Amino acid sequence: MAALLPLLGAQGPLVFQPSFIYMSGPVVNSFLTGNSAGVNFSLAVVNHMDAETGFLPLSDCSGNRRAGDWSLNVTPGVDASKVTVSVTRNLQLCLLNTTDCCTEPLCIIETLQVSACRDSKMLAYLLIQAEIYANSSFMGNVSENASVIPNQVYQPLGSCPCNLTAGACDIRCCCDEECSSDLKQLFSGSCFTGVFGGNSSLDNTPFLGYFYHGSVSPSQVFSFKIPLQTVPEKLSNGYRQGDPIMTKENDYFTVPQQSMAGQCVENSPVAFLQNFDATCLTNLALYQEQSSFTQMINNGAGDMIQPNVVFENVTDVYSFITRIGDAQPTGSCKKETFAEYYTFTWKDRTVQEVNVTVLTGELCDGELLTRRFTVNFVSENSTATTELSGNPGYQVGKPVRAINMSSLDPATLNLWQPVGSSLCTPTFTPVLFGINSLSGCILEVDMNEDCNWLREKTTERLNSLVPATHVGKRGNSNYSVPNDWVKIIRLDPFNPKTNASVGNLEGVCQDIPANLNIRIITADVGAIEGIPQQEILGVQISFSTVTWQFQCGIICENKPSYLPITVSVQFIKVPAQPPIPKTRFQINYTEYDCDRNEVCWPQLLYPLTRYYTGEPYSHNFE
Amino acid sequence: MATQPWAAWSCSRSPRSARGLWRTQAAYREQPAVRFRYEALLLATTAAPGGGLAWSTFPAFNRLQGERLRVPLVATREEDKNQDGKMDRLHFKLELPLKPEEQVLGVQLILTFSYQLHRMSTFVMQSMAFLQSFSPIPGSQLYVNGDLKLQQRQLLSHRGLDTRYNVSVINGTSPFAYDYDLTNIIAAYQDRNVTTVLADPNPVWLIGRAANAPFIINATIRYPVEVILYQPGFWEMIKFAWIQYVTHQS
Repeated sequence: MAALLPLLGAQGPLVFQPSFIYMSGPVVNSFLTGNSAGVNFSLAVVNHMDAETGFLPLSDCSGNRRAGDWSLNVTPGVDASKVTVSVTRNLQLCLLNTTDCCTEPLCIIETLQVSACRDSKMLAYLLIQAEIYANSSFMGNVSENASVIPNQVYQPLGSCPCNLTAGACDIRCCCDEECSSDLKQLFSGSCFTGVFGGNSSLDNTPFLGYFYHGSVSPSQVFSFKIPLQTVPEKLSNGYRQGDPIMTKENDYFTVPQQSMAGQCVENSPVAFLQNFDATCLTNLALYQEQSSFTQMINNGAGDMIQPNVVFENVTDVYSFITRIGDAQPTGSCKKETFAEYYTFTWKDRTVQEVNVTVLTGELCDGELLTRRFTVNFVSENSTATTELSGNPGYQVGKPVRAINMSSLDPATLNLWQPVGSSLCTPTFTPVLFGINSLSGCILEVDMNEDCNWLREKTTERLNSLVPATHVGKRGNSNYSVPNDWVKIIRLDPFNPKTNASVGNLEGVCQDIPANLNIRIITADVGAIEGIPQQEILGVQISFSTVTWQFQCGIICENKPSYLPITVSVQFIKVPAQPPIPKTRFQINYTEYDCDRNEVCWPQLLYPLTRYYTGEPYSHNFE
Repeated sequence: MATQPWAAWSCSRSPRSARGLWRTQAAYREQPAVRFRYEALLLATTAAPGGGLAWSTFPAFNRLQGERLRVPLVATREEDKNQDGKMDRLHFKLELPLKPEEQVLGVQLILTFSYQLHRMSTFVMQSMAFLQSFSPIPGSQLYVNGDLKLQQRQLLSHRGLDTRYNVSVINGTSPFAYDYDLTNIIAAYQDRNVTTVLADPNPVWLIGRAANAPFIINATIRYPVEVILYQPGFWEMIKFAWIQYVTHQS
């Protein structure tokens, strides 16, 4: 046997050592031991093994040193030849749509066979099981596109600090989303832990520089933010009260209105069923002519209506124009819109008709224009009869209804509406229910005025405020029902028979009826749906007198002196029924009155009584 | 009557019984948790007739303004001076750009706050500070330094959550001019039973504006400790009542 061994050593069988290799890198080496003279090597890719027998396919002695993506290199030696098998393809993972790259992380999974043949007879073979993953080192171009960095305080940039390579899987970084599950299996047992491994909550970020435990309660943080503006939807199912009126272009229908501290805003929307009356001091430098009335209006049901426009010339120019200083208007005059009066006729949830009256006039340089805009919504089925002041009882703030019984004409109770320097002019405002008022005006009186004539003149002027004979008991008093009206009691002014001034003194008149007192007695006469209804029980008109004396300065010039005359309205509320008189007990034992005493008997068990509102009764003993 | 045990307190002739048995109201001190809501509405009245400049943090309001709109530079800072977790003051600075020929004669400014009380009932509301100042002399700067004080028309509850007034002071989403009328804003705000008011604002109207300088509003608004009146709970009343009872018996 000993003699055999060298023989075997020299002529022994050819063996690859190792003869089986698990290949995970791009290059493997093996050695063919034995006499390799005359041996040719060939490389083949084993496509399939016989699944049942496990035998390899027939030997291949073709001498090919290239097969598929593989190449074979042999370095002959003395007793052994070094066999090197290497991958010829690129092992880069595909980043973009390029060829010659790995589409999957597990790039190559193949079986190779290297055969050593002599005279077409296979003497030895080497099996290589290749499972090669793609190269994960980053080779791509660095993009210049800046990535969006979220707010560091709330969105930590380093949610996965071990993810160091973009577009590739970082080994042992289990939070790296670029690692596939296959790849993660390779290192799932040895993931980086802690913050570096991405195990940090949002409130503990490396960026913030502190790592504390404990919960952080979310608090409301205020900041300057611009809310998103909503685009109005196309309207088709009608307007509701307060909805903006829309135009054909699905934009707001705008009319200048007062806002803020009295300034007018030009393009402010009109709300459905919201009337207004705006006076706008117009700065012509800022003002751009815009005529809303030319726009088509969405009627609420999706149909468009064209406003009916009537142009008129201003008759009373000076209610719109103010002259700056005393300068007479000079230079150019221009036609301007002075007022726009809109009347919307509505029915249900739609606008039926729009009527516009536009007043135009001439505006010259050196004049200030105050424009007026009104919008009124009128119900289609409203009748032209006079407006009620409540139904049935009066509403506070509505005009007191009155009638002249002799002619059966509706009338009003009036107050003066002082204008300018408040000299007496026939401008009136109605007496409103429930509102105590005072008004007046100034009469110019000469020094030589006849006292009787002055008395008559003031009485006549004051009486002109109350042309009515009767006043409506209720807000809905019917003009044809006499019982709905209560007669105005007039107490005529004291009329002295003395004709002349006292002692014929010039410039002094006594008993001038300069004040008119209107007293209106009202009462709560019941309630409808919990709303108290008020009625007028009686009206009395009386005069109070003053002594007028001509006011002299240092010298008595005969220029007019002033006599102020006033009218006052007083509403007196009386109980509809006489109150229940207090008992003698209530009068004598005042400690029963909890309104007047800190300590009172009914509140003896205060927390258990209805006086205590601190908590619901049922909770008292919880 | 004298034989009744509770007669002692009810007798109004006894000087000691002036307050009665029950504590029907009580007070405590608390610093509110106030935060500026970063909502502002500014009106500046200029010398031109009908003129004025306006700006707010509400886009719907700004949309109405047209040429009146001016965008200012606003810088705000809230400060927790004593590091107790509650803000103590707001520093608000606003620079309104002006053309050289424009002159500011008056300013109206609304700032809104989130106001919270926690010690007894949890009371949450949105409130405002309204500041206005006018002068016949064109100004360059308005300096204001005051307290945001609580105004109570009603006793607060002793417990529970009260969000009655946790509603916007200004309806900033409305497109209508009506909703930005200061009289309407203030009328709606004053309908509340609990409000805040800018007290002792000490406005200082500074004059002498350089041609291209902006108009500056410089405001410091402090959030002071408040004395809050509340209605005691049932057991709190019982707790104080028995002491009263015992002292009157002795």
